[in-house]
Amino acid sequence: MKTRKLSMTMLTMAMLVGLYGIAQASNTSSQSVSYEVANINEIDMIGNPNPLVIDTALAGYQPYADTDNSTTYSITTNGSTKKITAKIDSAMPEDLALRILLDPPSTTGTSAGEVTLTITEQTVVSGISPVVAKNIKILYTLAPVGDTPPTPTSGIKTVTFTLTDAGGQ
Amino acid sequence: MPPALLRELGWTIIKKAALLFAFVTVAFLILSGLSACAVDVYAVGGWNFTVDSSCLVGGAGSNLIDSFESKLDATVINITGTGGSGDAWQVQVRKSSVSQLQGVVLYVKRTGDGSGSGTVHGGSSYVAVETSDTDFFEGSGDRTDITVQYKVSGISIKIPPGTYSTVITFTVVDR
Repeated sequence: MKTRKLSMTMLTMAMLVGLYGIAQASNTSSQSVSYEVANINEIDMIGNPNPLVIDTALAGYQPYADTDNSTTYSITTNGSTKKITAKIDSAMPEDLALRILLDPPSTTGTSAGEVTLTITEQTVVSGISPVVAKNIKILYTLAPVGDTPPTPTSGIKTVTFTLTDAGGQ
Repeated sequence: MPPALLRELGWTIIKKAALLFAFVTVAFLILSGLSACAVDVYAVGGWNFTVDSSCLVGGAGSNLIDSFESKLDATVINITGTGGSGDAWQVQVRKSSVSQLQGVVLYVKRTGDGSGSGTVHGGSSYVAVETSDTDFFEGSGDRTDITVQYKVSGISIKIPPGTYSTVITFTVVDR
C-alpha cells in the first residue's frame, strides 16, 4: 500500500513537472534592425547682398567702404570637425577688396573675422561640431585698396561657400 | 518475519521502485520533449535604412525628421506547432543591448493578423522595444504571415556618422 502511495505521488510529481514544462514552453526567433547615419553636411545661403557701391568720400580721404548684412546662412551638419570656406569666381580689381565676415553658429565654431575674398578658398568659420542653425549673419564689405581712390568700375562676383572637413581645403 | 519473506518483500520494493523510476523518467522526458517543441515562432525579414541629408525636414538649418518607419511587412512572423486553435500563446519582444544610443527608441507594431485556425490580437499600436522581454501580442492556435512594422525615433544630428544595429528577438510563450 505504501509503495502504491509512493508511486502515485511520484507519478503526480512527474506529471506536474511535465505540465510545468509545457506551460513554460517558449521559442525564439531573431531579426536584425540596422541603420546607417551618413555624413550630413548642408549649408545654404539665404538671399543675395544688395549691390555694394562706393560713391561717397570725405575730401582728403579714401572713399568710404560700403557694407551689406542682409544675407544669412543656414547649416546642418553631423560632422565633428567642420569648417566653412569661401571664394569668388574671379579676381577683384587691384584697387578694390571684397571682404566677408560670417558669424559662427551660436553653439559652435569660430569666425575667422573679416576675410578678403580671392579665387582661392579661405576659411571663414572653423571648429564646427554637430549643429542645426539658421539665420546666421553674413557681412559683406566693398572697400578701396591703396592710397588712391579706386578706378570707376562695376562687376558681379559669385561667392562659393563650402562646408568641409577641417583637414581639407 | 522469516528471512526469505523479508528478501522477497525487499525485491518487490526494489522492482517497483525501479519501474516507477523508469516510468517517471520516461514521462518527464516525453513531456519535456513535447514542451520544448510545443510552439515555434519563425520571424523572417528585418529592416535597414540610411539616414542622410534627404532626411532633413527642410534642408540646411533644419533637423532630421522625428522618426523613421519601415514598410508594413518588414518582418513576417509564423506561429506553428500549437496544440490546436485553443492553444494560447504570447509573443514577447526584446532587443540586444549592443549599439544603444542615447535617445534612440525602437518600436514594433503588428500590422496584420496573418492567417490560420487560431486567433491573434494585441500589438497593433507601437510598443517600445526594451532589452528585456516586453509583451507584444498574443493569440491561439497556428497563425502564419503575421506582419510587423518597425519605427525608430530620436535619431538626431548629434549622432555621429556610422552604422548601428540591434538584434530583435521574438519569443513565443505557450500559455
